[in-house]
Amino acid sequence: MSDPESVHITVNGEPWELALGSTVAELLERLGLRPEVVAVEINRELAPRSTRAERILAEGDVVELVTLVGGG
Amino acid sequence: MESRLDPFPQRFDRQVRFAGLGIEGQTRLAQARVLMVGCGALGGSLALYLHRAGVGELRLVDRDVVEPTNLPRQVLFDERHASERVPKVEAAAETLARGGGPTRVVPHARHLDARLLDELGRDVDLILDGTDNLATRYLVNDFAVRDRIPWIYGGVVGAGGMVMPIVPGHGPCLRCLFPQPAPPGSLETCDTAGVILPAVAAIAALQAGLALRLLGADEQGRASFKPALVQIDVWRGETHRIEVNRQTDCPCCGDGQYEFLESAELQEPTVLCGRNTVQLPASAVRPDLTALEQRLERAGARSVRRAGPLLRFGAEECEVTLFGDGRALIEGTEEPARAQAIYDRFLGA
Repeated sequence: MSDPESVHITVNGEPWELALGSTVAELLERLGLRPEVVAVEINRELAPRSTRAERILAEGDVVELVTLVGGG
Repeated sequence: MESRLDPFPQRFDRQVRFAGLGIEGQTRLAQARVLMVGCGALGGSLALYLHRAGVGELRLVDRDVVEPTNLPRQVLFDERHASERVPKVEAAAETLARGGGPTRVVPHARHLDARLLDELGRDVDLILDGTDNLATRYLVNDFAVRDRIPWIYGGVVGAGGMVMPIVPGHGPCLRCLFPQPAPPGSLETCDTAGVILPAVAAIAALQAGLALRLLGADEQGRASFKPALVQIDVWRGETHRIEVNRQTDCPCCGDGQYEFLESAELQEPTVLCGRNTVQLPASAVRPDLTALEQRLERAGARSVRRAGPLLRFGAEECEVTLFGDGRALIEGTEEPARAQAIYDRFLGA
Protein backbone atom coordinates (compact mmCIF):
# COMPACT_ATOMS: atom_id res chain seq x y z
CA MET A 1 0.00 0.00 0.00
CA SER A 2 1.32 3.40 -0.74
CA ASP A 3 2.29 5.68 2.06
CA PRO A 4 -0.14 8.62 2.35
CA GLU A 5 2.78 10.77 3.49
CA SER A 6 4.66 10.37 0.22
CA VAL A 7 4.28 11.09 -3.49
CA HIS A 8 5.52 9.02 -6.39
CA ILE A 9 7.06 10.80 -9.34
CA THR A 10 9.29 9.95 -12.29
CA VAL A 11 12.67 11.66 -12.62
CA ASN A 12 14.45 11.16 -15.96
CA GLY A 13 12.55 7.92 -16.44
CA GLU A 14 13.25 6.52 -12.96
CA PRO A 15 10.59 6.14 -10.24
CA TRP A 16 11.14 8.26 -7.12
CA GLU A 17 9.33 8.49 -3.82
CA LEU A 18 9.34 11.86 -2.04
CA ALA A 19 7.85 13.22 1.17
CA LEU A 20 4.47 14.79 0.61
CA GLY A 21 4.86 18.51 -0.01
CA SER A 22 8.39 18.30 -1.46
CA THR A 23 9.31 21.18 -3.75
CA VAL A 24 11.37 21.20 -6.94
CA ALA A 25 14.19 22.94 -5.06
CA GLU A 26 14.19 20.17 -2.46
CA LEU A 27 14.31 17.51 -5.13
CA LEU A 28 17.40 19.13 -6.68
CA GLU A 29 19.01 19.34 -3.26
CA ARG A 30 18.27 15.70 -2.53
CA LEU A 31 19.84 14.74 -5.85
CA GLY A 32 22.88 16.86 -5.05
CA LEU A 33 22.48 18.96 -8.18
CA ARG A 34 23.63 22.55 -8.47
CA PRO A 35 20.40 24.40 -9.25
CA GLU A 36 22.01 26.93 -11.60
CA VAL A 37 23.21 24.28 -14.05
CA VAL A 38 19.94 22.34 -14.33
CA ALA A 39 16.77 23.09 -16.29
CA VAL A 40 13.64 21.42 -14.92
CA GLU A 41 10.77 20.23 -17.06
CA ILE A 42 7.61 18.99 -15.31
CA ASN A 43 4.89 17.22 -17.29
CA ARG A 44 6.40 18.51 -20.55
CA GLU A 45 6.52 22.12 -19.44
CA LEU A 46 9.61 24.00 -18.42
CA ALA A 47 9.35 25.05 -14.78
CA PRO A 48 10.60 28.64 -14.47
CA ARG A 49 13.59 28.94 -12.18
CA SER A 50 11.78 31.51 -10.04
CA THR A 51 9.04 29.01 -9.10
CA ARG A 52 11.27 26.16 -7.91
CA ALA A 53 11.19 27.00 -4.23
CA GLU A 54 7.36 27.00 -4.15
CA ARG A 55 6.41 24.42 -6.74
CA ILE A 56 5.24 21.29 -4.92
CA LEU A 57 5.64 18.01 -6.73
CA ALA A 58 2.39 16.08 -7.14
CA GLU A 59 1.66 12.38 -7.38
CA GLY A 60 2.47 11.13 -10.88
CA ASP A 61 4.51 14.17 -11.98
CA VAL A 62 6.97 13.40 -14.74
CA VAL A 63 10.16 15.38 -14.19
CA GLU A 64 13.02 15.75 -16.66
CA LEU A 65 16.22 17.30 -15.38
CA VAL A 66 18.38 18.67 -18.16
CA THR A 67 22.01 19.74 -17.96
CA LEU A 68 24.00 21.14 -20.85
CA VAL A 69 25.97 18.71 -22.95
CA GLY A 70 29.51 19.99 -23.27
CA GLY A 71 31.15 17.93 -26.01
CA GLY A 72 31.37 18.68 -29.68
CA MET B 1 33.93 31.89 -60.18
CA GLU B 2 31.31 31.47 -62.90
CA SER B 3 29.18 29.31 -60.64
CA ARG B 4 28.92 32.08 -58.07
CA LEU B 5 27.30 34.39 -60.60
CA ASP B 6 25.14 31.79 -62.25
CA PRO B 7 21.86 31.78 -60.30
CA PHE B 8 21.89 28.19 -59.11
CA PRO B 9 22.15 25.88 -62.04
CA GLN B 10 21.55 22.16 -61.80
CA ARG B 11 23.62 21.78 -58.69
CA PHE B 12 20.97 23.13 -56.31
CA ASP B 13 17.91 21.93 -58.21
CA ARG B 14 16.62 19.54 -55.54
CA GLN B 15 17.20 22.04 -52.81
CA VAL B 16 15.35 24.77 -54.72
CA ARG B 17 12.44 22.38 -55.25
CA PHE B 18 12.10 22.08 -51.48
CA ALA B 19 9.20 24.41 -50.67
CA GLY B 20 10.78 25.77 -47.49
CA LEU B 21 13.62 27.30 -49.50
CA GLY B 22 12.75 27.80 -53.18
CA ILE B 23 14.77 30.13 -55.39
CA GLU B 24 14.42 32.95 -52.88
CA GLY B 25 15.65 30.82 -50.02
CA GLN B 26 18.59 29.54 -52.03
CA THR B 27 19.44 33.13 -52.98
CA ARG B 28 19.44 34.11 -49.30
CA LEU B 29 21.66 31.12 -48.47
CA ALA B 30 24.10 32.12 -51.19
CA GLN B 31 24.45 35.56 -49.61
CA ALA B 32 24.74 34.37 -46.02
CA ARG B 33 27.89 34.49 -43.90
CA VAL B 34 28.23 31.88 -41.16
CA LEU B 35 30.76 31.67 -38.34
CA MET B 36 31.59 28.06 -37.48
CA VAL B 37 32.95 27.92 -33.92
CA GLY B 38 34.96 24.72 -33.62
CA CYS B 39 35.77 22.46 -36.52
CA GLY B 40 36.01 18.97 -35.07
CA ALA B 41 33.19 16.44 -34.89
CA LEU B 42 30.12 18.68 -34.81
CA GLY B 43 31.87 21.57 -36.52
CA GLY B 44 33.22 19.45 -39.37
CA SER B 45 29.84 17.88 -40.05
CA LEU B 46 28.12 21.26 -39.86
CA ALA B 47 30.66 22.80 -42.20
CA LEU B 48 30.09 19.97 -44.67
CA TYR B 49 26.30 20.38 -44.62
CA LEU B 50 26.39 24.15 -45.02
CA HIS B 51 29.05 23.98 -47.69
CA ARG B 52 26.99 21.47 -49.65
CA ALA B 53 23.91 23.67 -49.16
CA GLY B 54 25.71 26.53 -50.88
CA VAL B 55 25.94 29.21 -48.18
CA GLY B 56 27.91 32.27 -49.25
CA GLU B 57 30.75 32.23 -46.76
CA LEU B 58 31.89 29.86 -44.03
CA ARG B 59 34.37 31.17 -41.47
CA LEU B 60 35.97 28.24 -39.68
CA VAL B 61 37.68 28.75 -36.32
CA ASP B 62 39.51 26.00 -34.45
CA ARG B 63 42.84 26.07 -32.63
CA ASP B 64 43.53 22.34 -32.75
CA VAL B 65 45.31 19.94 -35.08
CA VAL B 66 44.02 16.64 -36.51
CA GLU B 67 44.90 13.54 -34.47
CA PRO B 68 44.31 9.83 -35.17
CA THR B 69 41.60 9.58 -32.47
CA ASN B 70 39.56 12.18 -34.40
CA LEU B 71 39.07 10.01 -37.47
CA PRO B 72 36.13 7.81 -36.38
CA ARG B 73 33.87 10.84 -36.02
CA GLN B 74 35.44 13.91 -37.65
CA VAL B 75 34.35 13.38 -41.21
CA LEU B 76 36.44 16.03 -42.98
CA PHE B 77 39.80 14.56 -41.96
CA ASP B 78 41.86 11.66 -43.25
CA GLU B 79 44.93 9.71 -42.18
CA ARG B 80 47.35 12.08 -43.87
CA HIS B 81 45.88 15.02 -41.96
CA ALA B 82 46.30 13.05 -38.73
CA SER B 83 49.84 11.88 -39.36
CA GLU B 84 50.96 15.38 -40.37
CA ARG B 85 49.01 17.04 -37.55
CA VAL B 86 47.41 19.47 -40.00
CA PRO B 87 45.42 22.32 -38.35
CA LYS B 88 41.78 21.24 -38.39
CA VAL B 89 40.52 24.29 -40.23
CA GLU B 90 43.13 23.83 -43.00
CA ALA B 91 42.29 20.16 -43.39
CA ALA B 92 38.58 20.99 -43.44
CA ALA B 93 39.03 23.69 -46.07
CA GLU B 94 40.99 21.26 -48.23
CA THR B 95 38.32 18.54 -48.02
CA LEU B 96 35.46 20.97 -48.56
CA ALA B 97 37.16 22.42 -51.65
CA ARG B 98 37.05 18.97 -53.27
CA GLY B 99 33.25 19.19 -53.21
CA GLY B 100 33.32 22.30 -55.37
CA GLY B 101 30.41 24.70 -55.26
CA PRO B 102 30.12 28.41 -54.64
CA THR B 103 30.92 28.65 -50.90
CA ARG B 104 33.89 30.73 -49.82
CA VAL B 105 35.70 28.98 -46.96
CA VAL B 106 37.90 31.10 -44.69
CA PRO B 107 39.97 29.10 -42.17
CA HIS B 108 41.27 30.61 -38.92
CA ALA B 109 43.60 28.31 -36.96
CA ARG B 110 43.29 30.30 -33.75
CA HIS B 111 41.80 30.16 -30.27
CA LEU B 112 38.46 32.01 -30.24
CA ASP B 113 38.71 34.65 -27.56
CA ALA B 114 36.46 37.67 -27.10
CA ARG B 115 38.59 39.81 -29.42
CA LEU B 116 38.61 37.30 -32.26
CA LEU B 117 34.89 36.67 -31.82
CA ASP B 118 34.24 40.36 -32.20
CA GLU B 119 36.41 40.48 -35.32
CA LEU B 120 34.93 37.41 -37.02
CA GLY B 121 31.39 37.55 -35.69
CA ARG B 122 30.28 41.13 -36.11
CA ASP B 123 29.04 40.84 -39.70
CA VAL B 124 27.76 37.25 -39.82
CA ASP B 125 24.15 36.13 -40.21
CA LEU B 126 24.52 33.11 -37.94
CA ILE B 127 26.96 31.53 -35.49
CA LEU B 128 27.05 27.73 -35.35
CA ASP B 129 28.30 25.94 -32.28
CA GLY B 130 30.71 23.10 -32.91
CA THR B 131 32.90 23.76 -29.89
CA ASP B 132 33.84 21.24 -27.21
CA ASN B 133 33.64 23.48 -24.18
CA LEU B 134 31.15 25.52 -22.19
CA ALA B 135 33.36 28.58 -21.70
CA THR B 136 33.28 29.30 -25.44
CA ARG B 137 29.53 28.71 -25.58
CA TYR B 138 28.84 31.22 -22.78
CA LEU B 139 31.14 33.67 -24.54
CA VAL B 140 29.27 33.16 -27.82
CA ASN B 141 25.90 33.51 -26.06
CA ASP B 142 26.89 36.86 -24.53
CA PHE B 143 28.19 38.10 -27.86
CA ALA B 144 25.19 36.88 -29.86
CA VAL B 145 22.66 38.38 -27.44
CA ARG B 146 24.52 41.68 -27.24
CA ASP B 147 24.87 42.02 -31.01
CA ARG B 148 21.55 40.28 -31.80
CA ILE B 149 23.02 37.55 -33.98
CA PRO B 150 21.28 34.14 -33.99
CA TRP B 151 23.31 31.16 -32.88
CA ILE B 152 22.57 27.45 -32.61
CA TYR B 153 23.86 25.58 -29.58
CA GLY B 154 24.70 21.92 -30.11
CA GLY B 155 26.42 19.54 -27.73
CA VAL B 156 27.21 15.86 -28.07
CA VAL B 157 28.67 13.15 -25.85
CA GLY B 158 28.33 9.38 -25.80
CA ALA B 159 25.33 8.39 -27.94
CA GLY B 160 23.42 11.63 -27.80
CA GLY B 161 23.24 15.30 -27.26
CA MET B 162 21.08 18.33 -27.57
CA VAL B 163 20.36 21.35 -29.68
CA MET B 164 18.84 24.73 -28.96
CA PRO B 165 18.56 27.62 -31.42
CA ILE B 166 18.96 31.05 -29.87
CA VAL B 167 17.42 33.90 -31.81
CA PRO B 168 17.91 37.08 -29.77
CA GLY B 169 14.63 38.96 -29.45
CA HIS B 170 12.70 35.83 -30.34
CA GLY B 171 12.78 33.30 -27.54
CA PRO B 172 15.23 32.47 -24.79
CA CYS B 173 19.01 32.59 -24.71
CA LEU B 174 21.27 29.87 -23.29
CA ARG B 175 21.39 31.58 -19.89
CA CYS B 176 17.59 31.70 -19.58
CA LEU B 177 17.84 27.93 -19.10
CA PHE B 178 21.33 27.58 -17.72
CA PRO B 179 22.38 30.83 -16.01
CA GLN B 180 25.84 29.52 -15.10
CA PRO B 181 28.11 26.99 -16.81
CA ALA B 182 28.65 23.76 -14.94
CA PRO B 183 31.98 23.84 -13.06
CA PRO B 184 35.01 22.53 -14.96
CA GLY B 185 35.20 18.77 -14.66
CA SER B 186 31.58 18.22 -13.61
CA LEU B 187 30.26 17.24 -17.05
CA GLU B 188 31.22 14.28 -19.14
CA THR B 189 33.29 15.16 -22.21
CA CYS B 190 33.96 13.13 -25.35
CA ASP B 191 37.34 12.29 -23.83
CA THR B 192 35.83 10.89 -20.65
CA ALA B 193 32.56 9.29 -21.82
CA GLY B 194 33.46 8.67 -25.45
CA VAL B 195 31.28 9.56 -28.43
CA ILE B 196 30.03 7.85 -31.57
CA LEU B 197 29.63 9.37 -35.02
CA PRO B 198 25.86 8.69 -35.34
CA ALA B 199 25.29 10.92 -32.30
CA VAL B 200 27.44 13.64 -33.86
CA ALA B 201 25.62 13.28 -37.18
CA ALA B 202 22.18 13.50 -35.55
CA ILE B 203 23.00 16.63 -33.59
CA ALA B 204 24.82 18.29 -36.49
CA ALA B 205 21.94 17.47 -38.86
CA LEU B 206 19.42 19.06 -36.53
CA GLN B 207 21.57 22.16 -36.13
CA ALA B 208 22.12 22.36 -39.90
CA GLY B 209 18.40 22.01 -40.66
CA LEU B 210 17.60 24.87 -38.30
CA ALA B 211 20.48 26.85 -39.80
CA LEU B 212 19.10 26.49 -43.33
CA ARG B 213 15.74 27.63 -42.05
CA LEU B 214 17.08 30.66 -40.19
CA LEU B 215 19.24 31.66 -43.16
CA GLY B 216 16.92 30.72 -46.00
CA ALA B 217 13.40 31.33 -44.74
CA ASP B 218 11.49 34.53 -45.51
CA GLU B 219 10.19 36.85 -42.76
CA GLN B 220 7.10 34.72 -42.28
CA GLY B 221 9.11 31.52 -42.07
CA ARG B 222 11.38 33.07 -39.48
CA ALA B 223 8.52 34.56 -37.45
CA SER B 224 6.72 31.22 -37.25
CA PHE B 225 9.87 29.56 -35.96
CA LYS B 226 9.36 28.17 -32.45
CA PRO B 227 12.60 27.66 -30.56
CA ALA B 228 12.86 24.48 -28.51
CA LEU B 229 15.48 22.41 -26.79
CA VAL B 230 15.70 19.02 -28.46
CA GLN B 231 17.51 16.01 -27.03
CA ILE B 232 18.43 13.03 -29.17
CA ASP B 233 19.77 9.63 -28.15
CA VAL B 234 20.72 7.41 -31.08
CA TRP B 235 21.45 4.37 -28.90
CA ARG B 236 18.04 4.24 -27.26
CA GLY B 237 16.36 5.67 -30.36
CA GLU B 238 14.72 8.48 -28.41
CA THR B 239 14.09 12.15 -28.93
CA HIS B 240 12.68 14.66 -26.49
CA ARG B 241 11.54 18.18 -27.26
CA ILE B 242 11.16 20.84 -24.58
CA GLU B 243 9.36 24.05 -25.40
CA VAL B 244 11.40 26.91 -23.99
CA ASN B 245 10.48 30.44 -23.03
CA ARG B 246 12.42 33.54 -22.30
CA GLN B 247 12.98 34.16 -18.58
CA THR B 248 12.55 37.76 -17.57
CA ASP B 249 15.13 37.34 -14.79
CA CYS B 250 17.80 36.06 -17.22
CA PRO B 251 21.11 37.74 -16.35
CA CYS B 252 22.05 37.97 -20.03
CA CYS B 253 19.07 38.66 -22.30
CA GLY B 254 16.98 40.03 -19.40
CA ASP B 255 19.44 42.21 -17.50
CA GLY B 256 22.00 42.81 -20.22
CA GLN B 257 24.98 41.50 -18.24
CA TYR B 258 27.66 40.11 -20.52
CA GLU B 259 30.08 38.92 -17.89
CA PHE B 260 31.60 36.11 -19.96
CA LEU B 261 32.41 38.52 -22.76
CA GLU B 262 33.78 41.10 -20.35
CA SER B 263 35.80 38.77 -18.12
CA ALA B 264 37.17 36.95 -21.16
CA GLU B 265 38.52 40.24 -22.42
CA LEU B 266 40.56 40.59 -19.25
CA GLN B 267 41.62 36.99 -18.74
CA GLU B 268 43.98 35.78 -21.37
CA PRO B 269 46.26 32.76 -21.12
CA THR B 270 49.83 33.75 -20.20
CA VAL B 271 52.97 32.08 -21.46
CA LEU B 272 55.44 31.67 -18.61
CA CYS B 273 58.64 32.45 -20.45
CA GLY B 274 61.53 30.05 -20.11
CA ARG B 275 59.37 27.50 -18.31
CA ASN B 276 57.72 25.91 -21.33
CA THR B 277 54.44 26.49 -19.50
CA VAL B 278 51.17 28.25 -20.19
CA GLN B 279 48.99 29.55 -17.36
CA LEU B 280 45.25 29.53 -17.97
CA PRO B 281 43.14 31.93 -15.88
CA ALA B 282 40.71 30.93 -13.14
CA SER B 283 37.34 29.71 -14.36
CA ALA B 284 34.04 31.47 -13.63
CA VAL B 285 32.99 28.50 -11.50
CA ARG B 286 35.21 26.46 -9.20
CA PRO B 287 36.04 22.94 -10.38
CA ASP B 288 35.01 19.86 -8.42
CA LEU B 289 38.44 18.33 -7.87
CA THR B 290 37.16 15.14 -6.24
CA ALA B 291 34.81 14.31 -9.09
CA LEU B 292 37.51 15.22 -11.56
CA GLU B 293 40.07 12.93 -9.98
CA GLN B 294 37.97 9.86 -10.77
CA ARG B 295 36.89 11.02 -14.20
CA LEU B 296 40.39 11.89 -15.35
CA GLU B 297 41.57 8.32 -14.76
CA ARG B 298 38.96 7.08 -17.19
CA ALA B 299 39.77 9.84 -19.68
CA GLY B 300 43.27 8.55 -20.19
CA ALA B 301 45.06 11.12 -18.06
CA ARG B 302 48.35 9.81 -16.66
CA SER B 303 49.26 9.59 -12.99
CA VAL B 304 46.37 11.62 -11.62
CA ARG B 305 47.24 12.70 -8.10
CA ARG B 306 45.77 15.03 -5.53
CA ALA B 307 48.12 17.24 -3.58
CA GLY B 308 45.97 19.10 -1.08
CA PRO B 309 44.25 21.91 -2.96
CA LEU B 310 45.88 20.90 -6.26
CA LEU B 311 45.22 18.21 -8.79
CA ARG B 312 48.08 17.11 -11.03
CA PHE B 313 48.00 14.82 -14.04
CA GLY B 314 49.73 14.04 -17.30
CA ALA B 315 47.76 14.82 -20.45
CA GLU B 316 49.12 14.04 -23.90
CA GLU B 317 52.61 15.54 -23.99
CA CYS B 318 51.93 17.91 -21.10
CA GLU B 319 51.74 17.98 -17.32
CA VAL B 320 48.73 19.77 -15.87
CA THR B 321 48.39 21.39 -12.45
CA LEU B 322 44.85 22.45 -11.60
CA PHE B 323 44.15 24.84 -8.73
CA GLY B 324 40.96 25.05 -6.66
CA ASP B 325 39.85 28.23 -8.44
CA GLY B 326 40.14 26.61 -11.87
CA ARG B 327 43.49 28.23 -12.71
CA ALA B 328 45.77 25.77 -14.45
CA LEU B 329 49.42 25.47 -15.39
CA ILE B 330 50.04 23.45 -18.53
CA GLU B 331 53.70 22.45 -18.67
CA GLY B 332 55.22 21.16 -21.88
CA THR B 333 53.99 23.78 -24.31
CA GLU B 334 54.40 27.48 -25.00
CA GLU B 335 51.36 27.58 -27.27
CA PRO B 336 48.34 29.09 -25.49
CA ALA B 337 46.00 27.44 -28.00
CA ARG B 338 47.55 24.03 -27.37
CA ALA B 339 47.29 24.52 -23.61
CA GLN B 340 43.66 25.60 -23.89
CA ALA B 341 42.89 22.60 -26.11
CA ILE B 342 44.30 20.20 -23.50
CA TYR B 343 42.47 21.98 -20.67
CA ASP B 344 39.13 21.81 -22.51
CA ARG B 345 39.62 18.24 -23.59
CA PHE B 346 40.20 16.94 -20.09
CA LEU B 347 38.29 19.46 -18.02
CA GLY B 348 35.52 20.18 -20.49
CA ALA B 349 34.71 23.76 -19.64
